[in-house]
Amino acid sequence: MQKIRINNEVRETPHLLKLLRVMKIVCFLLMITLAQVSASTYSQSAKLTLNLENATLSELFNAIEKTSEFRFFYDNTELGLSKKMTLTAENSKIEEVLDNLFKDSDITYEILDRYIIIKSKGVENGIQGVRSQQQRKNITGTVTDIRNQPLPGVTVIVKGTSQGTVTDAGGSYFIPNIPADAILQFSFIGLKTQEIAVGTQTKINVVMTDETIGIEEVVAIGYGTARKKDLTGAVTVVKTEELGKIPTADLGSTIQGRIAGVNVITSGSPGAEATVYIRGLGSIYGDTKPLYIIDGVQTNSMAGLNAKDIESMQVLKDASSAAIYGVRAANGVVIITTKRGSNKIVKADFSAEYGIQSLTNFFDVLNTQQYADYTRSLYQNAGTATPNWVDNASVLKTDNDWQDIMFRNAKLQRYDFSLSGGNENSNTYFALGLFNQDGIIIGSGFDRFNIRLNSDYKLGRIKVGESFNLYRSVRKIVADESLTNYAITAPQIPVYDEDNLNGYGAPTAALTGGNNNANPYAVSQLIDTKNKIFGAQGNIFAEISILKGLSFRSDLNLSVINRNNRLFQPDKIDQGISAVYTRDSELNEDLSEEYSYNSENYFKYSNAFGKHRINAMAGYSFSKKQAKYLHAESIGLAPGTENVDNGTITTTYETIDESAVTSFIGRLNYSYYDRYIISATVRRDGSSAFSEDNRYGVFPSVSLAWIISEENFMNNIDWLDNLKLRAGYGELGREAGNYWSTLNSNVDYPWSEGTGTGVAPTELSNVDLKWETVKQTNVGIDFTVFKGLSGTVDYFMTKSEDMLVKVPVPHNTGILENSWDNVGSLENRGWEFSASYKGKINDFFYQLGFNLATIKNKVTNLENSGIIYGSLNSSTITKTEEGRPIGEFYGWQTEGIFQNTQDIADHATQGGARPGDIMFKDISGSEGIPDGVINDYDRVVLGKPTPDFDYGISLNCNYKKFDCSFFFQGVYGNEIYNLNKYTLSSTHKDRNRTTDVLNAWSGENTSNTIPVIAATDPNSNDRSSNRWVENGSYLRLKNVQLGYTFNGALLNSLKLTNLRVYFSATNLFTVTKYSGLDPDITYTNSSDALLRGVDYSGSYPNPRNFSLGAQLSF
Amino acid sequence: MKQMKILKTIILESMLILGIAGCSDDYLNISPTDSVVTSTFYKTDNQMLEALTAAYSSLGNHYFYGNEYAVKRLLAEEGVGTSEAGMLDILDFVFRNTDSFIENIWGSCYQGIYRCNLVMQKAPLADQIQYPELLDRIVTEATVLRALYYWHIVTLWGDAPLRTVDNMDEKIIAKSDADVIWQFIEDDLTSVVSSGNLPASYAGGNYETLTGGNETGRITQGAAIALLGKVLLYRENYTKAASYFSQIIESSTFNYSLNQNLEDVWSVAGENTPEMILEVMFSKTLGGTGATNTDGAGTSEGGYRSIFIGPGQFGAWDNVYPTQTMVDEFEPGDPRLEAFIWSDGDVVNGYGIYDPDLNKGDYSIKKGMGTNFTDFVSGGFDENIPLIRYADVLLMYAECLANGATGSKTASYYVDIVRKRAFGANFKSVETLMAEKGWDIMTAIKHERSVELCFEYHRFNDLVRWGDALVNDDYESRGISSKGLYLPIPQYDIDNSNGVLIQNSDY
Repeated sequence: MQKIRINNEVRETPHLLKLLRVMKIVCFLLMITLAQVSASTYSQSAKLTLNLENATLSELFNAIEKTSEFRFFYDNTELGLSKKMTLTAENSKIEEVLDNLFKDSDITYEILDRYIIIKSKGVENGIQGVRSQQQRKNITGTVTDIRNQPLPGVTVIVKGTSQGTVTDAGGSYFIPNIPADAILQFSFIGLKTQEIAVGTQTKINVVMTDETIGIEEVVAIGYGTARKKDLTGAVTVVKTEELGKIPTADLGSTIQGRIAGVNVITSGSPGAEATVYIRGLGSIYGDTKPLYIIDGVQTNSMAGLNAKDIESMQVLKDASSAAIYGVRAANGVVIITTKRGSNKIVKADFSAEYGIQSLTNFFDVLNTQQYADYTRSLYQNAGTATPNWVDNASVLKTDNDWQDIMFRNAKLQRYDFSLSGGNENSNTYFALGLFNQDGIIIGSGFDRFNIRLNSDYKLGRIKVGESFNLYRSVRKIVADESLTNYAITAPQIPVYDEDNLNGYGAPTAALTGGNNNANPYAVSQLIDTKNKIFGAQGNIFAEISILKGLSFRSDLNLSVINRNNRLFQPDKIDQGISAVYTRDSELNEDLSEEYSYNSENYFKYSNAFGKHRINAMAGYSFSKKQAKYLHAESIGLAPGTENVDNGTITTTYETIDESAVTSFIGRLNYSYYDRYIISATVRRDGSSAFSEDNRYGVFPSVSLAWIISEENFMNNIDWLDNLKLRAGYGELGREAGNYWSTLNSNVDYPWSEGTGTGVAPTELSNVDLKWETVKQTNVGIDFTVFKGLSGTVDYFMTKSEDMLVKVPVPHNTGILENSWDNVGSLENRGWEFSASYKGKINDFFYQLGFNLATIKNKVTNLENSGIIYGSLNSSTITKTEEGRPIGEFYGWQTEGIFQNTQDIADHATQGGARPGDIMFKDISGSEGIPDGVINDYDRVVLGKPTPDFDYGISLNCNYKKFDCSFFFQGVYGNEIYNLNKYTLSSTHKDRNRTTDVLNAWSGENTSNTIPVIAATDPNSNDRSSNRWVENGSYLRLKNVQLGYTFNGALLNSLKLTNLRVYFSATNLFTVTKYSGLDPDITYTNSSDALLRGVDYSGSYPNPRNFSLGAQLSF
Repeated sequence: MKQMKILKTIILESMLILGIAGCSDDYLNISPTDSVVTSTFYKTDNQMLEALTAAYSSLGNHYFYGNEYAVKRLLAEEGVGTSEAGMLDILDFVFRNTDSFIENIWGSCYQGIYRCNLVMQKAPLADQIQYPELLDRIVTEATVLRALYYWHIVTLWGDAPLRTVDNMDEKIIAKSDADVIWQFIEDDLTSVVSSGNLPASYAGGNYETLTGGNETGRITQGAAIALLGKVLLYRENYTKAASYFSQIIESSTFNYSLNQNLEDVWSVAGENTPEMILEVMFSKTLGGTGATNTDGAGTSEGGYRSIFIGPGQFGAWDNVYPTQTMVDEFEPGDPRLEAFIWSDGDVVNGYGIYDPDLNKGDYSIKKGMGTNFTDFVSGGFDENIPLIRYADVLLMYAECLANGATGSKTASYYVDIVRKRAFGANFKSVETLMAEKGWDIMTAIKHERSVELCFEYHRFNDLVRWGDALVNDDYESRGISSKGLYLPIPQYDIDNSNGVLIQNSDY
């Protein structure tokens, strides 16, 4: 069984041949699997003692195999196996034995560790007539990693066939009998797949490089690429294969926890985009979204981009790297390059994944009887009439937990197909993607369809090409899609009620007292809200090579995004607000078009002279954005119609936003001796957002790197493979708002004869508005030690000056909206650590990754206002003041509950207090000392929304054909303002409550934490206080994936070259002290920096997801 | 060849855009095309009229008169409510400085004041004016409007920031004494009244080409005079007040009279009738769904006043309903009880029979409620809100006469005009009533104001100015203190004033 003999007769019979091939591979793999402990020098150490006379070659081979671990491979048609030979050997090495044996024949051999390949010289020289038409050969070789360690388990496949093997423990492989025009494909998870044309070679040794972290790797740095080695700034290369692991349509969510210094807050709502901050919050009111450069297209969103299409993703974190993008780069830059066709081979890939998502955590809410008791107390304790329903048995018999009704197990599926190929002069990558997700809230969901076409053409000295992505997405949203909303809806409302016009139950006066939340199920079924997007984004370019090293490139980047947001409610339905509450049919429709183009034209020069290496670019770019937004509302639509003009149009308006930027850009990289590297950039931007006097800003940067490990004096340090020091400084700009003041011309007034148009300003204008400047210093170290441990440490300090702030003005100015101004400065500092270690234990290979980033922000100056308060629902809950972080939670400290009137008398004066109310602490007064009165002076900082650090831990392992990965992610040291808790368990609201209120104060010493139930709150128990502020730290097992890669029989029968199946689990568990459902929270209005970390009803919890998937290549 | 073509196109397109952008200095000169820029506005008659319209618009803001001015209705014993904690607190005179009801009234008034100031500030700079006398009228209207907003501020808050053309652009200013604000209002109105810039009526539209005939609803000379009289009455300057009220009642310039139908004191049919001196205009066709707009940016119609306070039995929210004290105030047989309040057995047009068991209270407010309680959109809030009507002026004049002012007739004469319209054939003179009850004339006037003007937002102000708020049983039972007489300044303004703006001492 050890030998593989190929029979010509069999080969001519295709079916049998196929069968044989299968068997052959199976046997071969089995054999390799059985091969024992690695000993790469076996052939050197093994000594043979043999004595055979007149034996046939095959007998000789058998004898050697019996007495040693050597195995022979040969083609029985090419060797005269029956030829008799004599062999004697005494403690001889295998070479000596074989040399002796074949010295007069045309047979040659090759030893690969334990494998000996026997060949006829005729075959090798291509002389033999039979073989000349279809030359076949045996290929051997070893596969190692870049540290020259053998790599077992690497899949080696003859491209386009099912023929293949995996490397053994010593990294060796052998593939017999393949055509000379074959291409071998070497793949291993986490490493870059290589394809090598066999040509005339018989021994192919391969060094596998890491997918993305190869030291010679070229990375995109904006307007060109650089060797990773030459980078002088803080650039993180994202492992693209990790991106697809989290089942979501939103790419932002998939990078959560993956990159030190990139902080992501996700939402569970299907199709919602995560909030991404790079190196913290750089501005209070300016835009804090990073700039995404997707194949040259500048955008502030990754919506519509399919994870599978991404070839590489680089995050430019520091100013010296990002300064090349000037004005729009103040929040960091993410450069995304999508896949392009590769030379020579046509490759098809298909992957499919199906998952089930569910919500595992619900609020514990009162049942109907408990809610009735609560409501009775609520009004009795306030001295007002109790609604009749609390004693109405027929009402009390219904008991719905709306959370159960509104949440479901929801499916998620995604399918991706791609084709790529090309030749020397052109190549193409074509991909289709389909994503379909039902939301865990009934009625919500997301669908997306992507088409991508990337091509390159070469015409002599000219290269042209394009990258295009078309996508269509439909997001179904349920009005008030929030768990808290469902939790507090009265449980006695029936889901269905035949007596109502539309058949759904409603919060009638008889059922609830008349003013309760609508039946959420009815809302989800009756109101149809869809947000549709059709997007086309792409780039076309031409590059002309002028002289050696010098070329000119022109890019035209285009983006057109059409949105249609639509809310339709059919004729005269009962929305469920109350029994007889009927509304006319209603249609609200938005149509918008966002069009932008960006033209970039620049010269590139790169050359090396001896030890000098120069890389430079200079050019001009200009871009324009236009967003048009048309809104119409119509009521009373004719039955069966769904367009605005079939009803009475109540509101229409159109807004047009336009902006333009022009820029001169230049960069010079110089490297000496591959050790000393300097990089400098300058960009001059002009923006239409500012008046002519303040229009232009110049943003320079410079950075240096020293690769110490290249120095001669470091040669003797064995454990150190790479050590690089980096330092850089750069300036960036941020724009926000506009210098002009516009008037609102819809401030109308109804004169008796008809509407009169009114015109008034809503904001104060500011012609002095200018760039906000961001100055960042970064120092870092990159290292690789002990052949497997590599890491990066960075420290940065960012100062935002002349911050663009929408300054709140007292409402007695008559201006009720905040107005733009350049106010004060802000500082962010932080450390970023990332490290990865690669190791193996026998056949178990693992890679451990870790990253951690700290951030401290501090407002260093707030010129005009001194303090900025952040408020929600007219209640101040955060405070931002000089010398402190942005948006600290702010309010009173609680000290327990007044148990009786004596407690009230003994305590500092607290207006409106009654027994059962919360006691607040007297901390200060107008003189700065406790004044015996509870007032505004007693407010203190209660917590901060920014974590001390956030971190990610990943573990990828491989055991033979199994692979698995674990990914943990977390934050530490932040607080969350749990406004949901107020919504759910304030004891002063007439809505259903969580069971917390069962422990409310109801007499002396019944509770010292939960105040009395009463519809009035003269004591302001619910005011901003530490009652609502909680520890927000968490550690989450974000994703686990288990995979199995097939090869052999199954692949063959399916005509596949690769097949991997996997099981993936997302959001498996979370360790946290937070009492809300999900500590990874987004406030709906997350663009408001002053209200970060506020858990409000907009948060759609992150579901748990289990999926099964398969990846196929053919 | 195809590739060459593509290439050519790309290069041409790039060059084209490059050319345009490179050659043009205007590339970065973008000004908005979807809205008017301040620097080019406030030039023509029409633009000034539009600026003035915006100043009127704040009256209709959602939480001001747009949402039935919830606070003030609750602040009188004529209505109670059970609903959101925030409203119950106001009912209990728990005024919180973070209360959004309070903040929005404050904001709306100052927004209106700002817009009036803006009209006055821009008028001298308007250089494309066709009708100078129209510009004078515009400024005069703005002056009266500003006085009206300040009247709300000073009666609700007492001491407060006084924003004039001179300090309107300063972000932070301190409070002025209530007396200063009162004097400011009185001076402004006095000069307006004597200027003669305002017409007695806008019927017919004097500048139709400019306004499209949209004129009725503006402040008339009569409105300015009545408001000045009211201000003087609040200042207890009875003689001076009476001199203005008597102009309204006696002067041949004005043609005010009482509507015969009681329900038309506040109804669509009663709008712009001779009883109405000053109204906040509403139209259900103006304003979007739900009209949740709170800042007056955009249309700001109330939209759901009827839903807010209508009877729960018929699907409305029943948030405010009449107290028993209010109902008991009506004399037996007073037709106004039925005209203004629904009680057991009443027919509610289009809905059915009123049943107290199906509502939160035993009664519901009928006055000014319109006929649709449940539809934000097509039902809406169509009724103008009367701010000053002729019956009010008659009673205010009577009050002046009862307090020492002299006129050709007695106080009871004017009270009886109001009573005659109410009782019709069953008229009983106020003198008879006084004799029956043992009341003096002032007590009778207080009673008459209470029933005639119920739910029209006068009651709380009346109780406070009469000094009755603190001795009223109903108020006492709800724990009112002197603190309850003025509202707290919104914390938002305090927080954003760097310590310059000081909270009312009671809060």
